[in-house]
Amino acid sequence: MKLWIKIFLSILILSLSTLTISIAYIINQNHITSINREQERALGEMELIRISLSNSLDFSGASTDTLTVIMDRYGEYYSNRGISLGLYTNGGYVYNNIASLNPDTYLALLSVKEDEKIAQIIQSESHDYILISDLIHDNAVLVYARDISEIYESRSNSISLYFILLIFFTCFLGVFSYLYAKWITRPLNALHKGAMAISSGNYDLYLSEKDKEFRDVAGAFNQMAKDVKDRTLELEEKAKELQTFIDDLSHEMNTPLTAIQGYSQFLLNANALEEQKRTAALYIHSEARRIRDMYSKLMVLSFAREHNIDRKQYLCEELVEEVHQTFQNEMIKQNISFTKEISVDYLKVDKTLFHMLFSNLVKNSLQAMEEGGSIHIKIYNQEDLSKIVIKDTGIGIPKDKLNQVTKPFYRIDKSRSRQTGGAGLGLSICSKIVALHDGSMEIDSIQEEGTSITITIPG
Amino acid sequence: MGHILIVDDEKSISDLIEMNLAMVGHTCEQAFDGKEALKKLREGHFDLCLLDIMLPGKDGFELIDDFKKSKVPVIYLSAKSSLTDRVRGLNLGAEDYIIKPFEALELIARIDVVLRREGKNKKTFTYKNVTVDLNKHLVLKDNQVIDLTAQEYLLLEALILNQNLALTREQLLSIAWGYDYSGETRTVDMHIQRLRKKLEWEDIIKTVFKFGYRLEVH
Repeated sequence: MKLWIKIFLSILILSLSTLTISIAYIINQNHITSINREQERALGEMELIRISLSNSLDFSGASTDTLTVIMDRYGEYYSNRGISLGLYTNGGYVYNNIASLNPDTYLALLSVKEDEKIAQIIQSESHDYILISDLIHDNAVLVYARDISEIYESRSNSISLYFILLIFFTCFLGVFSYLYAKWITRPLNALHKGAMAISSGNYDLYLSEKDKEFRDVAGAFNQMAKDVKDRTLELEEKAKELQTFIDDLSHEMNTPLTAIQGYSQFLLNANALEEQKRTAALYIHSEARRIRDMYSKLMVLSFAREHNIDRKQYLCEELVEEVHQTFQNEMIKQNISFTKEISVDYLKVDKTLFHMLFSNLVKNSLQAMEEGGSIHIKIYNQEDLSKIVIKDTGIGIPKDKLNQVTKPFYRIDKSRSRQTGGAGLGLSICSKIVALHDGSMEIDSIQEEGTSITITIPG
Repeated sequence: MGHILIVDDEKSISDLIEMNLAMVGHTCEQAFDGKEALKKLREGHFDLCLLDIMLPGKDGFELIDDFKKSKVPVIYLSAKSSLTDRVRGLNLGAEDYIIKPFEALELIARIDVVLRREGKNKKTFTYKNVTVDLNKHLVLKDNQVIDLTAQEYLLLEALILNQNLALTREQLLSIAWGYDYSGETRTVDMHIQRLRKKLEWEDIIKTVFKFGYRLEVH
């Protein structure tokens, strides 16, 4: 059941039943009071009649006829006031004008004893009576009956009036409690609509926070909608990035695989010369190596992602020297000078990852220079940040491609990187490693003059 | 045979195509980017161009207009496999669209279709005293017509068009009898035997061990 219906019904039922109970109580109370008043009055009158009878009659001496005559007079007098009388002596009524009641119904009244009175209320088909009996002489019982139908009528009138009123009340309360229930559950409706909107992908809704009572809930809801939106966009962004990565990867795999498949097919079924067979075999070899290189680079990327970064203080000089050692032979072969300018003793880094970072950057620099040139590494502190600058005198990067070079598989010059065997993942790996160190990487380059890469990491 | 321009920025792929086409008798030139392709187009005369789409400089979609002006038919050869790209390529006026990775034999067959449509395919093939007229479907030995069954002729034609490349028995079977033929590959062996005898080409229709047959011409 909906909440507003529950509220609606409970208001309606609660108020109607309270009303009914109190009205019923009041009517009943009124009725009881009326009856008591009637009884008091009847007793008073009864006493009056008895005294008057006792004064004008001598019961012990009077004959039955005399009694009847006298009673007849009294009865006639009182019947004008709505009172009936009866006199019972020696096993029979000498007088009885209580015509509308069967004497059997008030038999119990005859057993009244001296100095007491018995009162009884008897309801006949159309009228209600209060009956009182009194022993006025040894064996003479006076029975008094008074019609009190009015009281009962007024009660049933009150009740019917109340039922008519109840219908009006029900209508009025129904409308009122419907409106009230709707009004009070309004925030819930707004929340419901909001939740539906969010589930259908509309995150831009805003619930009004004007309503005082509703402000906190609406505020929390709006915050949630915003968070859901942000989170969803983030996930979409990530999924898109991943899809691009997979697309690029499959494209990158396609060429070497086509070549390997094609050349091996050629070796199998072509009537080829020895020299052609050798060419085919060489291509199979180099293309397989290309896939292998790509594979190991991807492993490095996933290693960088999975690796629990472990930053410790390492001697700066040592870190640089290790990389220098690795590339010494190439540098000599390509006639490249290597200089360093280090004004920092220690760097707080993950050694494995940082070695990868340095190696990739130095390798890029070496590939950017054909013959001759220089690589300069400068490390210094700026406030509490460590700055590492690697500067070369290579061919540089075109300005419009600077922001794309860290994308996976991006290569500025395909034919050139093919010769050097690059998969286009080097700088992508570098930016990942720098990000793991909570740092940033900035690339400045002038074509034909050289590239300078600045890495900033917190000390 | 055709003179074909191969435009592909991947040297390994370009060389692979060149080697295969050279085997069946085409002559090739290579260009590795859009600029070079246009230069070669101006300088040489080509019967067909195999054009990659993703090229440094001008891409394959941009280049096709120049080829159409020079009346050189173009077959796109690309790793871009989406329907949109294929439809776009064909709408731009390419004769065909082949997706990488491709099978050398399929490439050769499709090139052959285009060359034939342009009337630039090989018309006859002669070895010793036998001449095969590929247009008229006639085989002459010392100027006498040799009777060949339909299957024998289809086998001969396939071997000539893919000369120097081996064809498997299954491939030959489907070429000469259709894909739904459920005969045994031994049928191919019997027909090849008959072909060798009729043409006296025992020395150039070679059996490639565990593979199939190859027409060897060098």
